Amino acid sequence: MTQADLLGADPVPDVEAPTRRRKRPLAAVPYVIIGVYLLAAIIGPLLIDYDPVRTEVTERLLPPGSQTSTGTAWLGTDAVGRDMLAQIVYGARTSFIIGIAVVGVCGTVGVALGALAGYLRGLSDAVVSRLIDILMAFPGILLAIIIAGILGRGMHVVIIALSVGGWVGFARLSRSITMSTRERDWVDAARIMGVSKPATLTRHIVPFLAGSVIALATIELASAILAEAALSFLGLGLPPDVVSWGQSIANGREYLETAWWITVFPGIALTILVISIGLAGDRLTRRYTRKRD
Amino acid sequence: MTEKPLSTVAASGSPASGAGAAPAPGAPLLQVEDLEVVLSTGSVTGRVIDGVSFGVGAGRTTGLIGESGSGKTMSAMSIVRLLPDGAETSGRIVWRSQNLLDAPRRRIREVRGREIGVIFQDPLAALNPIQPIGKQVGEILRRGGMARQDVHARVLELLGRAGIPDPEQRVDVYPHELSGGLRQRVMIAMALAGEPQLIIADEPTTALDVTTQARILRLLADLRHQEGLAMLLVSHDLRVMAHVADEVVVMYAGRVAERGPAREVLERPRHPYTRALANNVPAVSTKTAIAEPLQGAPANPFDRPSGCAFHPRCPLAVERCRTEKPELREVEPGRFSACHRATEVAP
Repeated sequence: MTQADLLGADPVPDVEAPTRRRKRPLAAVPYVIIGVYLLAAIIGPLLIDYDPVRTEVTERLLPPGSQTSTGTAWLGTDAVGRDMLAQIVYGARTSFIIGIAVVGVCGTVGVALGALAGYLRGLSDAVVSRLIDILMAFPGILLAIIIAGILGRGMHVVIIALSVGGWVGFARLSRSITMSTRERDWVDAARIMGVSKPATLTRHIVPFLAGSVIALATIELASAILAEAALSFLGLGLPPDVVSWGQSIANGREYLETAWWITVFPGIALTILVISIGLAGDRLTRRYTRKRD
Repeated sequence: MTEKPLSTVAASGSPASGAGAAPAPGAPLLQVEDLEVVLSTGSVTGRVIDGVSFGVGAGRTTGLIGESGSGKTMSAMSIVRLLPDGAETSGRIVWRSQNLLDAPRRRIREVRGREIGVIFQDPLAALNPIQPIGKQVGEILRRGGMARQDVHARVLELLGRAGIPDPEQRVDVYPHELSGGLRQRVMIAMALAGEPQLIIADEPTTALDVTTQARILRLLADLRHQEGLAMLLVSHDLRVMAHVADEVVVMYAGRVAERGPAREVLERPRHPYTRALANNVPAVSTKTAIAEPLQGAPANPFDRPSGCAFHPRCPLAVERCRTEKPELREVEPGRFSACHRATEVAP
């Protein structure tokens, strides 16, 4: 839905600085939350020592706040005695690495293909558009499951699996903005000045994609993180020694009645992050699609 | 408007209206001969430019006049091959003894900017809003492989020549920070950057207020004298034409109605359409009613009336005008008119 909003975007970014600054303190909340997560993902592993393959059977299924041999397990321990707080912190790192990598790959590929298709039209456009149609007809997560199932395990496998279908949104957005921007007078003017086609595309069209692409990238980041958790929950993609929220949630399934904290805390961590990124993305989308006079 | 390989349809039509006309006062730099542009929009196909011929002499200014939709801009933009998708052209556009209509794409890119510069109607739309103006003016220079330092110095010089005060202060400014007149000067600096011999100016003053218009026209006239530039001026404004143009070409519904020396054509029209245009210009000093407002709407080039396209609006129309298309003929030395009753047109 948000992608559809972006498709209608005016390609010209706001040249005047936005004069009306809304004074709503709550507006900053999603950004603060994302910041805390990022900080945890970057600094957390340096502060908390955690080995995902070291188990402590005597300390299994301890409730939140229990004392363990290494300190206090604030969020409890799982079925093999691993600290839940550490899992969440390490899991945040995994989520961000995969999410950012997927968005990076999808954004690069999608913008390149979409801009070329929209600018050159003709055969290239037909090829890219049909490819988009085919991929859109396929549920993205199903495609990711199939690819992860075929390729085996590894972080790169997850990134590839999620990128195969993820670039489509970027391509559609870039294609439509390129098609409207190329009709602008300054593109004609550049052409009349004898500027080559590649230079016209990169200098006079692609910069106008930036705002909308960033807004879409934010939304895609949330869905990539969610999709990674889903794959891990199904036991696909990531090897067992990489900590992931999806894995932690899956591990706690059998103990839901006795040790709820194994599933609930990673679940809450995932939910809050995805919602916050989604809110930030919606705001960016509104900003870049705002109707001007 | 997009670039498309222009397939050349078979050059039909009589040579009478085309080649060999227009004795250019300067050495002929550009000759457009029997130009036709066929556009297809959906299922409708129309010959929007139908056998247009005119020339621009070295160091001279030719004006294209006409109402909106008369094909003046499209005729001018055909020269640098800036036409809508799917446009088919025929005829000849001879630029320095080469036909640009069948020139290879590489040659067209050389001509663009370097030999023929273009000034657009709306400078705000024609400047990239997210690039500083200096970068845009210097684009063609960098493309030519000029060193960064030299480009900077040359851009400052060009901005100065286009009459922009304090070029050093303005070189890094964005188009929206400038006034309309300054923006148009930036466009002019851009057009001058490639040191062209011909400048196509498409309604260069239409988006400007009257005093700025006068200054821009003065600048264009000065540049013409100093640099010996030839100019193809597209405008619907007869007053602008009277001041600037040496020759005028009056267009109606994609055809040339009349052609000749500017002052003579505007003062003693030899085509009822030119007369109507001239009479429609309200005088500023006297409060006279517009003498003969032109009746009816401009002819649609996709559905041109039979015979003379102007006959439904023409006060002199006779039966012959409805059936027979008038060819452009020399009615007086140097004066060409496409009217059956050219000699009867009262001033």
